Amino acid sequence: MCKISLTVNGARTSHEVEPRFLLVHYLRDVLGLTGTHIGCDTSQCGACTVMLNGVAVKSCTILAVQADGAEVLTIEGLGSEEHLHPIQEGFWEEHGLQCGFCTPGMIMAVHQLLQRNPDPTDEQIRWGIEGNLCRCTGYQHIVNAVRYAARKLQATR
Amino acid sequence: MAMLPKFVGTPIKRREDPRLITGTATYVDDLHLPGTAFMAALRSPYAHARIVRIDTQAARADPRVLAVLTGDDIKEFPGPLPIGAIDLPDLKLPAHYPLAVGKVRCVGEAVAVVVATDRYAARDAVDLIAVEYDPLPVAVDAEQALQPGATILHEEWSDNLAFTMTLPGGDVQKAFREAEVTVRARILNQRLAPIAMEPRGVAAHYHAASRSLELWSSTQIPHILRSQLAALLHLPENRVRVIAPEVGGGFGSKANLYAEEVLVPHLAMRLRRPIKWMEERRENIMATIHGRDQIQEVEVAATRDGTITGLRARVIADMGAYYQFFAPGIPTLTGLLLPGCYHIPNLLFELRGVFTNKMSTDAYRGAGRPEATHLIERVIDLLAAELQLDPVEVRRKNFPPASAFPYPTSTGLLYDSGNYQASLDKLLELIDYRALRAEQASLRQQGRYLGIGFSTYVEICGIGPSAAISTGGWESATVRVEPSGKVTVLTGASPHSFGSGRP
Repeated sequence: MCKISLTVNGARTSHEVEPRFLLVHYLRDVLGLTGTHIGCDTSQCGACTVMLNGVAVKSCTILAVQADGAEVLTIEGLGSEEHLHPIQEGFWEEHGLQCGFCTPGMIMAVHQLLQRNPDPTDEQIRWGIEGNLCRCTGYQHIVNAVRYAARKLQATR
Repeated sequence: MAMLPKFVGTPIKRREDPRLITGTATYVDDLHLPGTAFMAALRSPYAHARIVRIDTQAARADPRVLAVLTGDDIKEFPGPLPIGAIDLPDLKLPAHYPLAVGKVRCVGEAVAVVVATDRYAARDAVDLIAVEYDPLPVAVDAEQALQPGATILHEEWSDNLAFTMTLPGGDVQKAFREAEVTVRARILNQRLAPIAMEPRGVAAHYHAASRSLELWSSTQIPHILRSQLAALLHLPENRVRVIAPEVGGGFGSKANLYAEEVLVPHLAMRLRRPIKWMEERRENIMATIHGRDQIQEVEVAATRDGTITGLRARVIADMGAYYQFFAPGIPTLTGLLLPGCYHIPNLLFELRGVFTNKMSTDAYRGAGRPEATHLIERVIDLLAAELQLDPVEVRRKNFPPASAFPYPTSTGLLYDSGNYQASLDKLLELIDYRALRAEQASLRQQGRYLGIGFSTYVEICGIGPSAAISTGGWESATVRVEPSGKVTVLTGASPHSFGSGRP
């Protein structure tokens, strides 16, 4: 067992974990942050996307021990029902989701995209979320949601 | 009377979205029941093989392992899995157990399951089980599986023919005898894997004191599941509660009764602790139903002006290794909807279901009905090409006129209402069909190919028992006026991405 200490959504946490224990299981099963989903186990779908030290990663293929000392941001840390983040608001306003299973990971990937490029073109948006799969929407409404969020973030900047 | 609010054309925000976009929604794997143990499955790497020996000793010796089940424990686990009632007189119904008994008939068939104290331990224990297989020849092509000499999946019968169905309407022989033109086609409607973003998952909690079972499944059909589980587990229906929590997509693939949905509660009852199983994506591709997989030989008879006078379709439907819950019913819907939106007075639909060494097919997005639409729309286009007519005009010519509704089809359905010509006219106006054809012609001169395709669609929905279909069920609802004066309505609707969810 290895001892890890990290900061998740601003809160310090420390646990003993097996070296093989995945970050996504640490977040979901140990910390109870079940907004991060497991869709493919293999980094294909992006449902498990979180921010690790400011970079979007697929937490189903990161070991918990690799996050030792790191800062992690999950969907639960981005906004709440009372205080939606503009990206979350965009997904709601623009019907950017149906079953919602891919949505938290999609939102985290968009979070990185808009940090790097606050005013992306539609093509840049589509490239920006290429690592995240959605089975329901056909993506067009997700693109609209990202544009909504970009506008809103720029207006408040 | 107060004016009703206008809904059509008005954007409505979905009431379930706040929990979905903030990560607070509860899917099956988000449940944390105290003391939960985890189930994992060992699956066959062979499409067809005899199971010679299963050695579970090492797995059982692991202190984290609570139970191991294999096909040798057939007397202990519930089964065989039932299928929905269906009226097919020559249906062969092979026993389909939750775990392979004696032999495996498709890749991904569960050979053993393990329950252990956590998910990592369960996966470890699966790797400790050794299975000796004796591989058999395989039948993976539905046509070849029907040939003499093909390997037999279910040895209680002498061939792989699962069932047949014939749907005659009018006088199809006369139509072909008198046809001015005939067109033939062979259409493959390929097999596919539904792949919802959330794999399947089941959690069960047995309350021994009240002899009641709570089961959470990522399912589209919690009510059917409850009735079936009550029967399989020998519990009264009022002691079984099935909960479909947030469901991460279904596409038909979660409208079923799966082996794991029976094994998990069985083990929860036996071990007296909550059990959870989550499908891995790899398992989802192998062990969740597939869709489509039909070979269609079709022939149409028509007059030179494009009027269809007859249609013959011989369809082979690949059922896979066993029937899943609705499986044999799916391609029968293809027959019922064969005429689609068209008046086809003479028709013959001949269906053969076939067992092959592949995962079962079952309901997938339209479930047998889009297979009919694809067939008839291809036929219309091929006929138009043969006669050098505008495919739009061939469609229009074969629509039943608005005055013919309610319109009885030659397959025994009654279309209650419709005005297909008017719908088509509206569409052509909206897309400016003439301008589109002109653009196509000018682009063609530049060497660019712009395709313009048309498809029409009509569907039987909310299927209840009727003259045309003997199976199906009825909806029920309970309306309760609460002491507060508010009204609670209970219906059978089970939302899984439609926007019909609760806040």
